Amino acid sequence: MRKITIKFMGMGACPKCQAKVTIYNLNGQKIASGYTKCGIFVFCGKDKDFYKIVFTINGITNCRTIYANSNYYPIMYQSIIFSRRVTFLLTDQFYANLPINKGEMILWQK
Amino acid sequence: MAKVITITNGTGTSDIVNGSYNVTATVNGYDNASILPTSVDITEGTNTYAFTIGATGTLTLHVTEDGTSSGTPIIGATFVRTDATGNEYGSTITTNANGDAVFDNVPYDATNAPVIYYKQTASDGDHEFDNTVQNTTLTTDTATVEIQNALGAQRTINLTDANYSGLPVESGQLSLE
Repeated sequence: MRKITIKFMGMGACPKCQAKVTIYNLNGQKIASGYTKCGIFVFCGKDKDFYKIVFTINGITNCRTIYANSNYYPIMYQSIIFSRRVTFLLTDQFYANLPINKGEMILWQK
Repeated sequence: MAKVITITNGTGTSDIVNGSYNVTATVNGYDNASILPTSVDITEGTNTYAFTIGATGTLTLHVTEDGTSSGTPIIGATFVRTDATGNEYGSTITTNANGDAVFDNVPYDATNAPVIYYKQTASDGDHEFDNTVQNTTLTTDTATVEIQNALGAQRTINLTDANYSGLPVESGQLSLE
């Protein structure tokens, strides 16, 4: 068995950020679950086994697969830390608060 | 990088990174170039951003006694735009001497125009009207809808003495408001 540390890179810079983490083996069995502390999640796994790490941050779920031949795995996801759920309202310009029934808005990052 | 937000009934949500963005819109029937604001700063602590968009069509409601283009015009009938459930939006419009009331800046599209809802809120006091939510679509930039406000049915009003049952009051006036 190996004590494996998952480090979510960038979370140290955002102390209020926390990831919900679930670890699965190749058979789909849940091995461990919980929340990161200071961006770190630790679990015990079999040496040289594959594990699927499913993590949710700010409502966004992602996953990574690791091969347990090391005690430390960094996960980079800087953009996920800072993206968040935002609501956009679109109403008629001449009839105050009349909602636009259907359409699209496109935001182009400058 | 572009982020597309689908709007349904006035609202859309998206996971988005803080930053500055230019904004464009694609809304059938509306003037896409009129979207405001045209840029937005997504910042920490603010999770809702409001935009507006305008249209350029004109909808004329022509109110007459018989509901035809040549009928006796009804002056002073009032209308307001609504949504499908009857919630009111914008200012009331009133028919003029020709029986016309105009909704400016309404959407239109040749093939996929948004539905425009409205309802009548008053007539001229002498005519009946339908106060339920009505709807139409504009396939061109101007359109006229003919609306009937039939003459109110003639009714008999009786005024008798309160203490002498059936004794008619010879003369006087009643006001119904």
